[in-house]
Amino acid sequence: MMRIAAVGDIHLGADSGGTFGPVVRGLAGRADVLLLAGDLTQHGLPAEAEVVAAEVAGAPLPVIAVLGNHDYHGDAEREIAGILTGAGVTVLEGTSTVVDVDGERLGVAGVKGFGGGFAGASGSDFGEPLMKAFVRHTKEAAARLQHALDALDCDFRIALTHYAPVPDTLIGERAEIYPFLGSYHLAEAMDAGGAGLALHGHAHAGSERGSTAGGVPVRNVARPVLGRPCAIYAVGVGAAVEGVRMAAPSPAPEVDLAAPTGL
Amino acid sequence: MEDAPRGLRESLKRVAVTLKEADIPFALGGSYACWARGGPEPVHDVDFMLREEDVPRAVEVLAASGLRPVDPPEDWLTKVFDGEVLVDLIHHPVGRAVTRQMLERSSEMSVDSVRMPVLDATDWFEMTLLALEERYCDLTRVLPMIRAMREQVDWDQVRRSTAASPFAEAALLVAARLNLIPPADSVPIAARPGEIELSAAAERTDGTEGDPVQRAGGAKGGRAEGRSTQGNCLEGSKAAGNHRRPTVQRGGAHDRQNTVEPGTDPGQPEAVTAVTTVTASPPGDQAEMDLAEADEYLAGELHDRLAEDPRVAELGLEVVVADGRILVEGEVATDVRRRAVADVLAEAAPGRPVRNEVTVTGRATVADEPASVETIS
Repeated sequence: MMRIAAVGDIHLGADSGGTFGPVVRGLAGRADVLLLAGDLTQHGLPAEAEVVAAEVAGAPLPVIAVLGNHDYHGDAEREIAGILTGAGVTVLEGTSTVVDVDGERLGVAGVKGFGGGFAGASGSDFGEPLMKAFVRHTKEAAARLQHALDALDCDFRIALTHYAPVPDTLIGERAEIYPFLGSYHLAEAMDAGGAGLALHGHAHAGSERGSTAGGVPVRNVARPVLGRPCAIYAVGVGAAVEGVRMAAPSPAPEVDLAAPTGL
Repeated sequence: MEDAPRGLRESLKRVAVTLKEADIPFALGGSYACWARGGPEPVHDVDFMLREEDVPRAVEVLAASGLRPVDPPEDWLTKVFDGEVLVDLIHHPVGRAVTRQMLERSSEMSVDSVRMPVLDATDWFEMTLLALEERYCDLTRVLPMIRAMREQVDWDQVRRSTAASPFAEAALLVAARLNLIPPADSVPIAARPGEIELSAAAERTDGTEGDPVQRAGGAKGGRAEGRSTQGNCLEGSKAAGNHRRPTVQRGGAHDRQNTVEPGTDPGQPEAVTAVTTVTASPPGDQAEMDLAEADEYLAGELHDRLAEDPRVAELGLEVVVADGRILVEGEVATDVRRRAVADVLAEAAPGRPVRNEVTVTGRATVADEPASVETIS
């Protein structure tokens, strides 16, 4: 059994020093890996990335991240990825990594992803160049994700994205903005790539639990959705048996909707 | 009981066809009109609206076709039975006479495969909301109807004609707060085309940024949705082609109602704290905004300012502008940012009362939380 700690959208700013470090250190002995689902910074500034780096430096567990749209805002995403990498974070973008957890191999494939919408209400690769570029960016992200999943040789695959692969975990957001919150192409890639769990952020007003059409459990780990510092998931062979501390998943979406007020 | 709707529909069609054949002007009303316009299907009562002078002849032709007239004690309707099904012939709903104009405003619609005039959605809501009273004010029944028909309704007209009823006002308030209908202070975009200028939008450098735009939409809440709904209403009316509403009469009132001088705060009481602190002279690209803009644009731009200003840099804040007053809600990481929210808003929209409901995120660590591990199997 492997314990996955995950949170997205921590949005650290230059003045956020000291806020996330205690969370990371508190995971010692409680989780085997920490996944960050993008939007680690507020404005995509390298100075903010330095704050993130300082908070996760010396983490008692491997830290794996994808970037989010905020981390791209300052056109410094490469620099930000470099700063995080320098602090020991594995930053994924169309790539994957394997963590050895007591002999079990946990594979994580990550991509930022993009919007585009969900089957029946999605953008098409058609029309103006900008529209085509928008949809193609999504399709490319999905293709890279599937490639990264395919490349994994491991016991359990996690797909880590910033944007949402399914609308289930967007419930609570206004339906009109779903196409800006995620894309079904990501879910397609997760299904095809044999993911066992999908984690994403981005939708602050969404809800935590969902599933792809192929049955991959999807969790929206955006910090405001969780309403707690991070989520912990037990995965892997025998997880169902060993997960004695598991909090019963609530079937009522109202619980998720009620928890985060504001964003 | 399962057959009840079917029986009701059969009676409905029978009465409608009989009245049509007799050339008696009428409109389908009541909950079946709502059903015809997309609302929930009723389980009892079929209502038709007729002018009082046409009622005797209607009763006569219906009786001739086998229905059984009943003369009820109420003075605002009469009833006929079709077997077990009771059909109301209403000539004074909520104390107002059914008029020729009202019947002309109705839309010819296919109701369970029979074409018949269906009461105009705006008229329908006027009646429905005015029928709410102390012993009958269950919004649980009204809200689904608003959801079902909202884009077919001229809500400003409904507001005006139901202004005397506190129950109608309450229903409309709830609907507006739920973002189902436009807010009361709504000024149609089309009414002042010259005023819409997205000054801040032009300054935005990153067109791909998802969140600010989206969250602005979310922040505007009902404003944005309400407006587009209203737009749809107009479109819908045109598209339907059956709205024979005398536009001069209503449109005129409508226009007057909405000719508010841009930028003037329509006499709102200063019930909330006015933020007057201006901490610094605004930098060039963060100048004061065009306060003449519609509230929803203001809300969107203020939202963006909060996202873009490094002092706050929060995209998740919800900004609502109503009646010129600014409400901001959400969570920021530090108290300094919380206070900066007020500063940024004061600089961007000086003089506007601001209610700062922003809270500071708790700093719990995992260690503080009870063990909560979900097992993915």
